[in-house]
Amino acid sequence: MTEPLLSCTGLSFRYGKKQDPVFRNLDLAVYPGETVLLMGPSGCGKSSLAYCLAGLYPSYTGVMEGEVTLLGRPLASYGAAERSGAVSVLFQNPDNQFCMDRAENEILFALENINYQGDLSKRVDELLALVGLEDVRSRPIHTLSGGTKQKLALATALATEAKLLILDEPFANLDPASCMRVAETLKELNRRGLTLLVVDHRPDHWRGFMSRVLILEKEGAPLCIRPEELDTRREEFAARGLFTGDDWLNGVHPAEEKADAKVSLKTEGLSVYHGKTPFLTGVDLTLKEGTVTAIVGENGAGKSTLLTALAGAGKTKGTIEAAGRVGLVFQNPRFQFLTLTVEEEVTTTLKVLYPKETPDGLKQRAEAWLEEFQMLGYRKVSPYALSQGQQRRLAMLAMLAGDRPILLMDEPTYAQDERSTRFILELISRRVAAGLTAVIATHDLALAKATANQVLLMEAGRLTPLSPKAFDAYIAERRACV
Amino acid sequence: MTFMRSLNAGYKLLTLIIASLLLSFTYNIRLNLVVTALGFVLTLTTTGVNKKKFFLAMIPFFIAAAGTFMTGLLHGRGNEADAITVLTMTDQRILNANNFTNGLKLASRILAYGGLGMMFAFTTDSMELIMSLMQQFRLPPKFAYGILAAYHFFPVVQSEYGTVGAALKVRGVKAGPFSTKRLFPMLVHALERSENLAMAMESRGFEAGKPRACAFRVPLRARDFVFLFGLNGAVLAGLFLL
Repeated sequence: MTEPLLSCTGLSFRYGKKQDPVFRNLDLAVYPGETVLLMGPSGCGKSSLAYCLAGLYPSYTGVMEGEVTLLGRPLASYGAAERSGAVSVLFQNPDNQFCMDRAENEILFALENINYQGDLSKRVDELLALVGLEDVRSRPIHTLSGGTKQKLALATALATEAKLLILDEPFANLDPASCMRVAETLKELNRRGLTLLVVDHRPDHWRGFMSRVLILEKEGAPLCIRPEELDTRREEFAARGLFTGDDWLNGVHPAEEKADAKVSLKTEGLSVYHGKTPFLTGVDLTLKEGTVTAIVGENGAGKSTLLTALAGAGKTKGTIEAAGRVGLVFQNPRFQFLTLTVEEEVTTTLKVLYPKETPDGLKQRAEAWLEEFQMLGYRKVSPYALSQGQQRRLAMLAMLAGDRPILLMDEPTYAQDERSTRFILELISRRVAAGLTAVIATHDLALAKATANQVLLMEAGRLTPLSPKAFDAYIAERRACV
Repeated sequence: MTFMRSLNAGYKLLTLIIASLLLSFTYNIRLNLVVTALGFVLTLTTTGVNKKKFFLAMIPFFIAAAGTFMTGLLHGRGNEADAITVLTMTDQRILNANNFTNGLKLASRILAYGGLGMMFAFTTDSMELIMSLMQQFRLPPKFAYGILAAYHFFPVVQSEYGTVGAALKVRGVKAGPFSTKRLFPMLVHALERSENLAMAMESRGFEAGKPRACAFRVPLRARDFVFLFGLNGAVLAGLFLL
C-alpha cells in the first residue's frame, strides 16, 4: 500500500488542561488522491481534529497528545511556510480568511509567502482560471458573493501548492447553486490529483466522488464507510444523529392551515432599502397565524435584510401591519446576545415583558422556558460558549419568551447535524400548532418543502409566491445545474 | 497631474512629518498660509482626487482654526498699549492687536497641518504606504499584513455594527451608539475574527522571518528626494525670508 499523505496515531485533544478530551487515542490516515469525508455529531471535535491535522492546533489553542505525520515527517517539525506547501485549509466562514483588498492581491500574498520565483502575475491568472474566477481578478473581495469568496479562498490555498486541502464545512454559508459550483470545482481538482479531507454535516455534495466516510468516535479509530455502503448502513448514521440525505424529512408535513386563522402580518407596497436604493419593491405579503412561510433565493438576494425590515428594524417604505410583536433570530445568533449567562439572556427579555415582576419570579419563569428548550443545564454558561445549535435555540427562546406571536428565522438549521436540526424543527412545529406565525429564510429546499405552507422566492428585487408545482420545478432546476 | 501619486508613500510621509516639525518651531503666519495653499494646490491638481470629499475633510480644520483664532483674540494676554475697544452685539469688548496676531498664528498653523495631512491622505494609497513602510522603513511583515487586514475588514465591521443595532432594536433594548451592549458582541467577534484570520494567514504559508517574494515593489526614485529636500528647503527658506 502507498505511503499515507497525512496520518495520526494516538491523537487526543482537549481545549484546556483540566477539560475532558474532545477525542482520544484517534488513528487515521489519508492517502494521496483520496477524498475523505469526516462526519460526526455536533461537538464531537471534527473541526478541532481538522485544525490539529492542519498544524494550527495546538499552537492556537488546546492541548494535543499523540503524533501527526505529514509526508513521512512529524508535522511539528514543519514551519508554516513549508507546511503550507503540503497542506492548506479552507475555512467555514468565507469572510474571515482574507487579509488583502482585491482578489489578485490575496493570491499574490500566498505566492509571496512561499517565495514564488516565477512570473507572479502569470501564476495568478493560472490559479484564477483553475477555479473559474478569471473575471473577478481586480474586484474588491468584500463585494464578492459567498460562493465566489470560497472559490477565491480555494485558489489562494492552491497557490501554496498544497497537496492536501482540509475543508472545514466549506458549504455552510452557501446557497444550493453555489454549493454545486464549488463542489464541481473541487471534484475536478481532486480528479487532477488534489487530496481532500472534508468536514461536513451532509454527504450530499461528496457522494459523486468521495473515497470513504469516516465517522468520528469518542475514542480510537473512526468508523469507516464506503460510498456504496452509504444507503445500506443508514442506521449507523441515524444512531449518531447524522444526515445521509433528505429522507429524514419523510413524514414531516406543513401544519394544517385553520380555516378561521387570523392574519398576523400584512405588508402592502413595501419597499426595502439597502442604504439609499431600494433592493426590493412591491412586496405584498399576508401571513396567517399557525402557518410557516419559507423564503428561498440565492446568497445576496437580501433575505436577511427583508427579515430585519419585517421585524421593524430596517429602512422601508410602505406599510407593515403586525398583530403583535415580531421576533427575529439571526443566521449568526451571536450578534443578538446581550449578557454573559444563558439565564440572564432570558430574564432580560422577560423583564421587558413583566416590568413589575420580582427577580425570583423572573427566574422561575426563565427556568420554565429553559426546561422546554432543554437548556436548563446550561443556565450559568456563557451564550458564546454554546454550540451553534444551542445558540440558535437560545436565540429563539429569548425571542419567544418576549411574547412574540410572529417569529422570523434566518437559516435556522444552518451548520447543524440531523439531531439538532430535528430538535429545532420540532420546537417550531409545536409552537406553530399553538398559533405561532413562523417565517424561515433558508437554503435548505427540502426543509422548505416539508415544512412551509407558502414558499416565496426572492429574486432580482422581487418576492414571488411559488405554487407547489413551481417550487418542485425550482428544486429540480437547482439539482440539475451541475 | 500624477506627481503626488507617483511619489514613494513612505518618503512622502517622512517629508510631510519633517515639514510639520519645521512649522512647529516658529509662528510664521505668512509661511503657514503659503504651506496651506500649497497643500490645496497640490491636492486639487492631482488627478482622481474627489474635490468635494477633500473640502468636507478640511471643514473640521477650518472650524478648529476659527475657534482657536477667536479664543486667542478674546482671551489672550495682550498689552494695554495697543488695546482698542469694540462694541459687539451683546457687550463691550477690549481687543488688542497682539491678541489678534496670536490668534492668527495659531489658526494658520492648524490650517497648514490640515492642508499637509489631507494632501497626504488624498493622494496616497493605503496599500502602497504599508508596502513602502515594509520595504523602505523595515516595518516587520507581521505588523504590515495585520494592519492591512484590519483596514480591509472595515466594511465587514461596519455591516456588523448595523446587524447588532438591528438585533437590539428587535429585542426592544435601548442602547446608545457607543453602548457596551453594542460594542460587546462586536468585540467578541473581533477576537474570533483575528484568530481565524491568523490561522488563515498561517495556512497560506505566512511565516515571520522567512524570505518572501515581492509582488508589490514600491520604487524609491530621484523625485522622492527632490520632494523631500525641495519642500523642506522651501519651508526653511520661508522661515527666514517670509
